[in-house]
Amino acid sequence: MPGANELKRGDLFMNSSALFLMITVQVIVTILTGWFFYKVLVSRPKEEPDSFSENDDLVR
Amino acid sequence: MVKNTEAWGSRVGLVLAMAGNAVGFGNFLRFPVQAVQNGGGAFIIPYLVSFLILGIPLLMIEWSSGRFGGQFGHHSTPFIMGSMDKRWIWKYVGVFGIFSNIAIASYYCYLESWTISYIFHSLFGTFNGMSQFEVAGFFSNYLDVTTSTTGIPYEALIFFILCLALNTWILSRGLSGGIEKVAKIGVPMLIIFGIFLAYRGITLKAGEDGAVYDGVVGLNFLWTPDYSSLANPKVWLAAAGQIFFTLSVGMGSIQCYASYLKKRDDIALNAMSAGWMNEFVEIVLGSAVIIPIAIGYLGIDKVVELTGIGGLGLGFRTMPYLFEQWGPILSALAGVSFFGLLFFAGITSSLAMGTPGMGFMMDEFNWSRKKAAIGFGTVIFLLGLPTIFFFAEGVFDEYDYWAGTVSLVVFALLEAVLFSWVFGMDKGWREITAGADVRIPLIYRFIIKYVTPVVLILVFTGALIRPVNDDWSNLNPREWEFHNESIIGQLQHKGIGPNSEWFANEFYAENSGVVDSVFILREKTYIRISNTDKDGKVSSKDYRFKKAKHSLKVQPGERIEAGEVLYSGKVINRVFFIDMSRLLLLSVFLMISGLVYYAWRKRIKEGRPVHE
Repeated sequence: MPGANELKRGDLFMNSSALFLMITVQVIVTILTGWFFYKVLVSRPKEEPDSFSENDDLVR
Repeated sequence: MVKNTEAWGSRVGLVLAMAGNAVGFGNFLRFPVQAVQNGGGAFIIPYLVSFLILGIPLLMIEWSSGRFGGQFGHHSTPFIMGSMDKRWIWKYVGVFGIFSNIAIASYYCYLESWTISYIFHSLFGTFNGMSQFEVAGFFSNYLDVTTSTTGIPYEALIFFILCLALNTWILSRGLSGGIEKVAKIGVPMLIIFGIFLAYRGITLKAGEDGAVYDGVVGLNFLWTPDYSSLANPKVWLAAAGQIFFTLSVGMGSIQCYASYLKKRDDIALNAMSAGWMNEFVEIVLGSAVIIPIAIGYLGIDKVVELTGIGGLGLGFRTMPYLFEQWGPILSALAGVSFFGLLFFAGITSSLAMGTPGMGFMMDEFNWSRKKAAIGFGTVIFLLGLPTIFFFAEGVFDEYDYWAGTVSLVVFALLEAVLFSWVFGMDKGWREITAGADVRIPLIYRFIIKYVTPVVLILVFTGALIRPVNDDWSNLNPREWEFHNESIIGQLQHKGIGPNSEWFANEFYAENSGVVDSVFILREKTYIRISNTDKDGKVSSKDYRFKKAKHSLKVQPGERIEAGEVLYSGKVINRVFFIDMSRLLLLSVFLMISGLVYYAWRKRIKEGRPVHE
């Protein structure tokens, strides 16, 4: 892997292509994960009877 | 008639259970190793492309098939697929969706039991003061079931039984009372443990706690892109394969979980949320734990060498030693975190493996949930025993290859064809979008119908005829040599070497070199043959033999070539265990097929619907 072995003891930073790729991918994945989960949390529950037993007593 | 009245407690619980099903050992042990071996950071490109054109479509297919079949009271793939098309063949294709789960759970629960054992050993400081060699040796000891690492006889078996009992008990509590509760605890816990270890990995400093390199060196190594690797089909096949294993698609467990959803409930957003949660754990956390820590202590060359033996070896043979460098308290905490996260990743997956078989027995044979859970536990125990007692003979690997790899690809290909072409994309798209809380781009209609089946055919063909050295450049069929791990190569017993008979009176050396030594380890006698290559690198192989039964035909210091007699006496070769494993797996598949046939006849006899 070109460049990978260039960093040696005491080096603090990653090379720019690795750093750019890592940050871009991780930020995109984290945002999408958070966004979809947020949508799950805030989506309006469907009318009863739905598939979930814990909200059966809730009046909508 | 007992009716299967299982239900999910909450939507969040369902999403976490689905995410937990997907998140497994592979997120932390397989993904980073695959990335290192396939172009570093560039691997993420085929990986994400595979996620978009293979992973998401298969998630949609499986969630919507499951919910569709669930409307007719089916909770396992034979009858879910039978409800999508009335031709008898689909019920038997659906057998894969029970078979894979049972066969995978048999070795997966064993693997899961290692994590319980290692949590125990991390807490009690077993690894304190051990050298790297001793920690690796500890793992070999542990896998040799007749040797005890703690004084408890048959320790590996006892931890397996404990693990299985725990799985069985949770499964007997049902979807909302058992699986969902574990997911609500397990998924956040593994993320917390993952964040802690990723933080330690990234902030590792050279010179502190015995580290040789900064943790960032490992991250840099993992993420540095080698874009030339993208021209190699091997890299794309590896990425597609990783997407398969990480999302738990092609197994039948997603269909089972989704079958408890009602028609107007969303599947599109739930599937996306669970799928992306798995990607977060894999890409963000999975890449920041073992490689940065291992490279910090061992350096790049050693880690590259260790990745050759796979993520499991790196995780269990090496990580405890590296944690040990952090001092007694932090090493215990790190050990508990690492093996704890693997445990939670494992148990949320193994529980999902229990549900299709249980759902089938409850639907078709009126079994109660408790009886079905005990039945599952018993079958897994019996099927798991060969993987424990004959681990060194390759039984574990055979289960993993045929049930955990080949079956998934075959089943996913067939279910994609059923959904897109037989059930029909018009009906299929209506199923996917019904009740959806998120808009699925229309392009997915095209992808699911055309692209995903083609990619699956390519993945299957790639696995079937994989060439030696992964060299896809020479397409001349006459010169094509199959890789040992290709399906054809496996069927031809390629890589078995000279000991190709089940039973023999002589055992042949499988490598060339000098007889290095005859030594006794854990009361067993071994002979080591070592070879030094032209670069001065020494490779050696140890052969176990029984002094009372076998007569050694070579002396220490003597040179021996592969294929020459090493010792004589009655021998049961590894190939016997390999073939028996395959026969056992085939028998299990046929037995489940028989049960499906019997259930179908039973339905007809009882006047119950068979094609809906």
